[in-house]
Amino acid sequence: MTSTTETVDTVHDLTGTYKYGFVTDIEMDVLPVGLSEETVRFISARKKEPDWLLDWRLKALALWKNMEEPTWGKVSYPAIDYQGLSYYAAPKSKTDGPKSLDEVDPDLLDAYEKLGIPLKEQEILAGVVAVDAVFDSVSVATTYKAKLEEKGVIFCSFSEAVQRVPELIKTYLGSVVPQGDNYFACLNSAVFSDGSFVYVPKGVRCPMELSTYFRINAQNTGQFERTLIIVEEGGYVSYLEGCTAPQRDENQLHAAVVELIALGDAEIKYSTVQNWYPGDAEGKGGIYNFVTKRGVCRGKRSKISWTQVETGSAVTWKYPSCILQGDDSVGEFYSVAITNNAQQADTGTKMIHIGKNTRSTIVSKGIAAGRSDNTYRGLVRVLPGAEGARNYSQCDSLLIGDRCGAHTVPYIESRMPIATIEHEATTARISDDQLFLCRQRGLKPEEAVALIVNGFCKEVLQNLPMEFAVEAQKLVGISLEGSVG
Amino acid sequence: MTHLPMTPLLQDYAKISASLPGVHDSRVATLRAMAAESYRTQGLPHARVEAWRYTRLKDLETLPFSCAAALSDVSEPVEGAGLAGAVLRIVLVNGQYVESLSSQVDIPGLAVGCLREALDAGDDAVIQALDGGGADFAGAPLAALATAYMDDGVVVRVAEGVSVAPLVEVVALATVDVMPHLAFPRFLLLLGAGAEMTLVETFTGPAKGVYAVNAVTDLCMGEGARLNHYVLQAQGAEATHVSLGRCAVPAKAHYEGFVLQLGAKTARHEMRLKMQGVGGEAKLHGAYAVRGEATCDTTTVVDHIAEETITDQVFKGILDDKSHGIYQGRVHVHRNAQRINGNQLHKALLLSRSARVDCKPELEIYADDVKCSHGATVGELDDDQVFYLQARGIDVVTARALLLRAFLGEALDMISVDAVRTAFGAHATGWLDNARGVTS
Amino acid sequence: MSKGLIVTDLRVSVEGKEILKGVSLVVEPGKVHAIMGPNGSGKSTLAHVISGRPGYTVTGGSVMFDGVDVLELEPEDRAALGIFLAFQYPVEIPGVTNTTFLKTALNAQRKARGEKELDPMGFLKVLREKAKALHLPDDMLKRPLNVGFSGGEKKRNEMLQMAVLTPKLAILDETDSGLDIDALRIVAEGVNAQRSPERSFLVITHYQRLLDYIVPDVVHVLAYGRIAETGGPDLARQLEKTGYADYTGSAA
Ligand SMILES: Nc1ncnc2c1ncn2[C@@H]1O[C@H](COP(=O)(O)OP(=O)(O)OP(=O)(O)O)[C@@H](O)[C@H]1O
Ligand SMILES: [Mg+2]
Repeated sequence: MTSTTETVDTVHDLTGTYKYGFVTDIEMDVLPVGLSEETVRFISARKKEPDWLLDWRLKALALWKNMEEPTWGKVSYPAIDYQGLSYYAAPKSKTDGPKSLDEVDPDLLDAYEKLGIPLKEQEILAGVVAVDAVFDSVSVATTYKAKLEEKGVIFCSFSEAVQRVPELIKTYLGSVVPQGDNYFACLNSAVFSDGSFVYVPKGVRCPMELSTYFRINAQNTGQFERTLIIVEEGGYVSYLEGCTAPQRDENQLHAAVVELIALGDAEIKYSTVQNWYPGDAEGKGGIYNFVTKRGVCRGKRSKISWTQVETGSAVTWKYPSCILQGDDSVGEFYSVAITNNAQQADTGTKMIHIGKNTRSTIVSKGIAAGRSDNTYRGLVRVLPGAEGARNYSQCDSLLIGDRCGAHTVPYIESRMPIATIEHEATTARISDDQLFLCRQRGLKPEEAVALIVNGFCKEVLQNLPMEFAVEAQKLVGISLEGSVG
Repeated sequence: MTHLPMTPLLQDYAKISASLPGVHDSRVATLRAMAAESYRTQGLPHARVEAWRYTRLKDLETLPFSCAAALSDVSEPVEGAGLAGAVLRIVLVNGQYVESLSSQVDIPGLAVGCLREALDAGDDAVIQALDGGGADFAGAPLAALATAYMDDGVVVRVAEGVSVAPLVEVVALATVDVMPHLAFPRFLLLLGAGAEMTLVETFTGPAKGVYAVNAVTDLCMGEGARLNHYVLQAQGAEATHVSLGRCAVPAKAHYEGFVLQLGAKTARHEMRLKMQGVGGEAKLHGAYAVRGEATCDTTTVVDHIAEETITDQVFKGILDDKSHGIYQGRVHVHRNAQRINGNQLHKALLLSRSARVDCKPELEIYADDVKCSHGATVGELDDDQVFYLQARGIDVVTARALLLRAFLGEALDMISVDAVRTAFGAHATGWLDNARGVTS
Repeated sequence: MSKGLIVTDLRVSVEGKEILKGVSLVVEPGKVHAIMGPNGSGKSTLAHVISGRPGYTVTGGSVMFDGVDVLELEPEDRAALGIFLAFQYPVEIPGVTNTTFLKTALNAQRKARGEKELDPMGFLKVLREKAKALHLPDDMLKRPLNVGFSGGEKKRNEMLQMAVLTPKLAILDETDSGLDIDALRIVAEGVNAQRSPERSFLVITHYQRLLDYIVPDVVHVLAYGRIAETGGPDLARQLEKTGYADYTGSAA
């Protein structure tokens, strides 16, 4: 046991319970394992959160204790010992990580190489150095910040937002994903560590993609991330989450929550490239990625667009959704999910049509290789008021090899005659002819597969912002390595 | 948290199980015991059972149904689906085979028998074929219940290579008694290798009065056999109808199925196809039309187990008033089942703002040399089409009727046997003549 | 080390059935050889085996190209050596544009040969020029490879690939079938423009008409898995009149 955890234990023994604000000045990195009211109080205290937020977390914890882990997904993994996890880790000190890139897993470096990630960035991703040690980050950050603040856009960590704009947090936190929504979201609500907050005021188009900034600033937000994005009427933001490079990461369970709120005529474009550690070829290790992402189009003509490229994690359980409440609002979901080796992904979306003339589009491309299982699961629900609603869904699966599985499970529920729902799904494989053609023209089998799969995913990849799209294309190839003999 | 399954309907079981047929045959006894146990653990379907996500059997949960065999004194001839031409009719009343109401059989190679006798006689072929050739009760608690109470039914055998010329129609008629009654019609077909026949199953009962039917049909095909299997569900407006059909399609065999559901207050028809022989082909199409506050569920489960098997499904539904339509279709391609073609399409029309449709097509694929697809659409009648017809001088009511008939027609036209297509078409038209969207 | 293509007593079977029953053939650099022969005689099989398409079992003989035993090589390595096959039935790849495909292929071959990758702008310029020469409109370069192309467009697109990849040996498997008269001339001009002392062609065709434009040095008749006759351009003209009646399965 480390000295810090001993300290906590001692303090605990002396006082019986943690008191609000009591431990904040104790230097420590990791909270001892276990989840209880005390854990939640501790986290909240460390972050100097107001009482209402502590109560909000505690309510979530109480709900969570009476919930059951969902079993309907087509994923299987050993039972998670929730009392065996640690729920708070302060930003890592330099001593935990490797001292130089020489100490980093060569496979990881290999992947960076292929993606063409600059060396300095590689060092951050691999955890060799802290962000501010590499980049001229003060100036980078301040340039961005100044530019954003000029427009009134707030972009900061969630914790900072709690201090800076508590009213906004109080109004919107849990308004899209309530505490008791599902098991993992509920757990997140009790113990979320940090995350990002974006606020775009009325009529403002955010002057830049909130991406690069994120990549160099939001490391180590921990396993229970919480993101909240609010765009006021007529505003626009494009937000990029994640990184195309696999990150060094010790947390096995990731249970993030993302809430998006788009008011009238507002638009949010949310892009994700997820390439967390998938485990080794035998399926040992890897991240469990159990994420709840949901956006609400609250006003007329608002729009939320999710684009995701999921290639990492051992187990993915994720359904970025849109609640189309405002009349004429639009929801989009563009997804590429690639599984290889022993990976499992159960991912898709929910489009809930409430307002009149709401429209949604779903384009999902699932690629399964190795012994993996890849499931699209999506719900389109048209409620009685959604006159004139339209949905179009296209779900295509590609199988590479004969030991994997590709599954499509759409749920279509309509209570509105004046609505049109169309769903199409296909499953196929890369044909021998296509493979031979590419090889005849000089491509190695792996390059051929990468090319063909990129073509298959094109509709989705072209929705990513330019600089991401290029890296994502390379990622498609990298994540399928070893899938053809 | 564990939920105790709800298992009403077993109240008669202890009392009557000793007198059910085949008690002395250990195979039958074992199957029965497994079935009863399966129902006990599964109970009546609830929302957390994925295969029954959208359909509740409310009447079975709440009303005191009797499961004991109900004899009836039907004596007038039974109509059935109204098929023209040569029809060999077999009649079951409340699940009991009634020879006096059924046609005389004198076709070489065709034998019609009573299930109770076969069970009592320990007939190997029959016993082995029960419940999909094994206690196949997963996700089918009601089929388990039916086997627990298995009493009478009909067994049809067709010898190898025989082609049965007349249509064979099995009419399962229900009657209404003082006490709401749950009948268990059971039908078993043993179709020899290379044999051919057309089978129509007609489920019907009184327009008024509460009753329930829980039917189980097992179709055993020999290699290279050809079977046309058509089901008409035309139960009374207060009825609860549950039926499960299973068919294993062996090598080079050809199955063509059609399910038309037009009746009942709550109906669920499930067809399970196992494509287990190389080169087997199956078409499974259907249509349904629902009105009032009725619920109509059509579920299909297709397993591609063998290589080079082909299935095709087209389903159409019309929902009026406050009705609820459900289509669930699962296509499962097993590991190593290569060179598969599996297609599926479901289209539904909602005629009323209070109607509702839930659709869940599902592909589960574990082999790579496979071409599978599904499509689904939900919407209303196309205004442009209605207008087009009006512009050609057809009044709106007629125009809508025409289009609705044409909509169902796309599915009905898949029935390759003329007499059946005509008869089913007439039933569909009859339903449409009363549709609100048409007459108002 | 002898340059060019040397096929010696090549025997090939498919699913246990012998298709090529000892084919021998030498194509020297700079030469154009035509192969004619009845349907099903094994012409495509020969083209596929030279380029390394899976599914064929070589039961005897050898295929050497520029002194290398190509039967030991993967298809992509043969391509890097300079062997190009214009497919009888061109393949579609949805989502991958013509341009992307060609750029990827060219760079892969250059890389394999230890050459530098082409800069994207320079590549585009070359591509446009060559497309123009084949009367392929620019928008076809942006469309997914062969998807929705007409039969003739697909064939011309094969020629575009040849023009861009500049192989040492080009095998054209019935590139003329499906082409209208003008397209046939355009394709032939494209081939003639590429004729050079280092480059050889193996032109599989059923029609004399193509050979009016691309005048071959040597014509072979492949029948029943064997080279039944070899001659000059006259042989093709003679076949046009007599057909293949003289070459029966019992020959040899
Ligand atoms: N995969 C295969 N399986 C079985 N037979 C094959 C296969 N591929 C080729 N063959 C047979 O090999 C023979 C030669 O075929 P090939 O395609 O080489 O003929 P070809 O000379 O190119 O004919 P064409 O002029 O019609 O293009 C034919 O009889 C063909 O049916
Ligand atoms: Mg050929």
